[in-house]
Amino acid sequence: MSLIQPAIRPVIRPVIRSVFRGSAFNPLSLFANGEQGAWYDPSDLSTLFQDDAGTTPVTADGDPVGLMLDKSGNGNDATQSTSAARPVYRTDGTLHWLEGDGVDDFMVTASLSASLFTAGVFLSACAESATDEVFSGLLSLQDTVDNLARVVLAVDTRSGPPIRHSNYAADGTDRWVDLTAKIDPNVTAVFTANSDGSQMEGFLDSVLQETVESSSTFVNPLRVEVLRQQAGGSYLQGKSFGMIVLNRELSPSEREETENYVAQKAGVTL
Amino acid sequence: MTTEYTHTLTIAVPSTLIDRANHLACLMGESAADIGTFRQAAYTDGTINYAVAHTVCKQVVTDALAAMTLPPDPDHVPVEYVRTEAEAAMSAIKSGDILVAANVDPHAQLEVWGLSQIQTEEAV
Repeated sequence: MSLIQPAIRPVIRPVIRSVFRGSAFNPLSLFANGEQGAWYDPSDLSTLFQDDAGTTPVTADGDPVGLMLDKSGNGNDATQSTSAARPVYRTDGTLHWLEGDGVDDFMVTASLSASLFTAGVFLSACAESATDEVFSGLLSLQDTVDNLARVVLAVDTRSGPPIRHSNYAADGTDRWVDLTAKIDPNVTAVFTANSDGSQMEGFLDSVLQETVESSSTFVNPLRVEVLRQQAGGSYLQGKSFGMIVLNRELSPSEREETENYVAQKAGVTL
Repeated sequence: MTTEYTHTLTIAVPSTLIDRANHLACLMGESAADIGTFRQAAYTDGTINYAVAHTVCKQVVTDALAAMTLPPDPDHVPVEYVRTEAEAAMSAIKSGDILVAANVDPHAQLEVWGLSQIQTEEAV
């Protein structure tokens, strides 16, 4: 990958910008300047495989997912090598999602350097929990050394308080964005955390909920985790319709376009 | 197309049998990594701590468990896999030490078994 990128970027970047200008929003445009991160789209069956080696495609509702390709161009594919821990591809014929069992299902990427995320972090995902009165991890950046979540989006259906939305804990100190109302089970919502490196804003369905400090920097390499908060607990029993991770803050218009895009994957209009 | 994964399994393994159960998981599973299916005993009945797994599976797996018959060793088993350990795990299922239920909601089943998550100090 590192050998290819310098040759490809100067050619592709101007093409991508000219294609996207005036066109329907495509999340690939967020990565046009070589941004790191990942974009997962369960509605794109060409990106889903039953095994982590990518030899057996997902083709039907109910197939396990062992490999979910990253569409951002960064190669941060999410995998699950243990059969029992693979989430399931589900569809109702119109919508498509990745479904976790809330017991042990999750997917994870290879390590990413901590230095890649010093300028900011953006996480966004459209999801719903099937279970009431539980806290579930949805999308996170996890420390590869101590296996703790450093930035996380959560789906909290507990009555609270607190009702957790997202957390920034680069130095191990929790800085939670909290909600004033619980997330209802079986209700789809868009969860977003947007940080410029000094503060993080938490959005629910594109509405700002709270701003917390995010000035500390990451120490150890990170990995992206899908459907759980961190090793050992808080697995999502529910649906995830689309997930995007980026190593910079998004502008308000970029954020709204991204949130509308992932919401559309669940048939929701924000 | 129709999925072949038409069944589910919920499995609870006492912490003392985790290593043994992993050999059975590897035999019945589809990946060499299945030798590490059970790791942390995150549930308890108040006396015994359990590692829990829930998975979709093909009918051949539930049939084998129902018949208490182990299939031949598949190609994916790693070098550390030991068939006699898988056989011992099957015996533990027969004796009721390892808990297995097919085609049920895992959370409801864990409740039936009297298992609850062990609370950690991690603040949420």
